[in-house]
Amino acid sequence: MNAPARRSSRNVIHPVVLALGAALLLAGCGTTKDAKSRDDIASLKTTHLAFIDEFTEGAGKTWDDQQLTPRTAAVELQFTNAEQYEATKKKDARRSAAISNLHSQFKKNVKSLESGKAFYRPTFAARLKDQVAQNYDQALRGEDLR
Amino acid sequence: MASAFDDVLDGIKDESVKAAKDQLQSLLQQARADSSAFAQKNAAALEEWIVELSNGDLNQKEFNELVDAQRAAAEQFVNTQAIAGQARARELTLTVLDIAVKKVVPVLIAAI
Repeated sequence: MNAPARRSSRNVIHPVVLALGAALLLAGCGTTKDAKSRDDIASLKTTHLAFIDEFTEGAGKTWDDQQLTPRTAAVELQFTNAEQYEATKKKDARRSAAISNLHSQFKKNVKSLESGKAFYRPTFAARLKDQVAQNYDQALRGEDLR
Repeated sequence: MASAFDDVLDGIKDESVKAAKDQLQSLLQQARADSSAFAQKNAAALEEWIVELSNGDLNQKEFNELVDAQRAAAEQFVNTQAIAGQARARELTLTVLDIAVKKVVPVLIAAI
């Protein structure tokens, strides 16, 4: 008579075991805080927004292809350094995705300047900066939530 | 009172895009009413760009670039939401275990 009851109780996973399993799973996901990663993203935000400002129409500015190349290289180096730092430690797929997204956004901005061979117009630049800032703010929020 | 955005959409008389126009208006209305500030802000920005596109303050290339930038920000938002979910789950599992083992149980054992 007791056998079925015993078998059914054996099949139920104890909540503590479930919690431990979930804890182990989460521990393996590796979304941990890292002050340097956060600083890298914050610094990239400042640099990226300044880059947009630098390549926006303004009094006395004249377009020069030679100016874009070194400025792009400097920002690219900053992205590379941030990505290399991430590669030196435990893989965090969410953080890598966040930085990759920001880097891709920067590359698109450069490509647009290269193809247009002209400064951004002020209205567009203001709207673009809003979107780029929003993207960085989300990435920084992700750092703060960890 | 109709907004500048509604006026722009009302100005589109092409019947072939009526369904898309209605869907866009409906989705933007939902986004404006959404509890997420992110969704509200994006809806407002998109409406603003459409108005600016219609009056020439933005050209099509600029508009497309802004849409791409908003798409990237939206993907970032989704990534951040996943981190938030993970952080919450961690709090409900690892943190709860830590508190039980390090704070509550020692006091309990000491009292036995």
